[in-house]
Amino acid sequence: MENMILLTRKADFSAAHFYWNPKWSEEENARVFGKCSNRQGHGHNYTLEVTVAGEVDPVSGFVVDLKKLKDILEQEVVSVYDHRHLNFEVAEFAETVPTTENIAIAIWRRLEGKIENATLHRVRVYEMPDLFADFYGEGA
Amino acid sequence: MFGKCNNEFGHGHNYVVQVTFSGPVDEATGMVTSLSDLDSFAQRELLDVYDHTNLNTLEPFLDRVSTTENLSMELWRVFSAYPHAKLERVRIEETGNNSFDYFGGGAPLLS
Repeated sequence: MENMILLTRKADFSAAHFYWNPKWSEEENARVFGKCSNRQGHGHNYTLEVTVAGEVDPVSGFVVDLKKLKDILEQEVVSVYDHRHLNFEVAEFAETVPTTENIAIAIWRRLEGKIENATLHRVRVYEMPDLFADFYGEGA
Repeated sequence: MFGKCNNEFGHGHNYVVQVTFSGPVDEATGMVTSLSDLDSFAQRELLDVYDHTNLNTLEPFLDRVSTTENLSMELWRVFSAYPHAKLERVRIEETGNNSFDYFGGGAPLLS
């Protein structure tokens, strides 16, 4: 692993969501989730940082082709999440609260195994500049 | 293979380099290492050599592609010579959207 590098690529998307557990009363949802429980929804400008680990190819000097990585993020995540209402329009949040934590996990699952010549190391999702969640995969 | 990056006239980036060192906190100074010593080292060994140059003309990249991956490994070699603390990570931001971390071939820090 002499030439192991972590490569991080960013992508942005904007989406709407709200927090709601259908097993709870309206009062309980309001108590736990506060203003995030407003079922009209609200939006965020999310920033996604995806970090992959891999060996540097001695010929190209690359771990992975950054253009290909950008295209994978666009295809697997941005085109699905951007300008969507996560609760209503993105399948993985039909029954899962679209918290920043759960979004990080969902994006990991969307990307795992899709990136050639590298392994997924970390998914970081910023909901706002002062709040982000990291996921390093199941069991990490 | 290299797309627009292989324009023979080259292209530039505003690279940002972060180096992370570890070491015990000195009881007298409260520091791991003197930041002014580290600044001087970075000025002499990195900026004086690399800033506003064409990387492809520098010795380390005469026979290696000047990707940021290879630059990360070369700057590991440069900063591992800093005598006052242990180098743990070299991070280079090539643009606001891309960055690269190198740990000297060891396991990555969870950060």
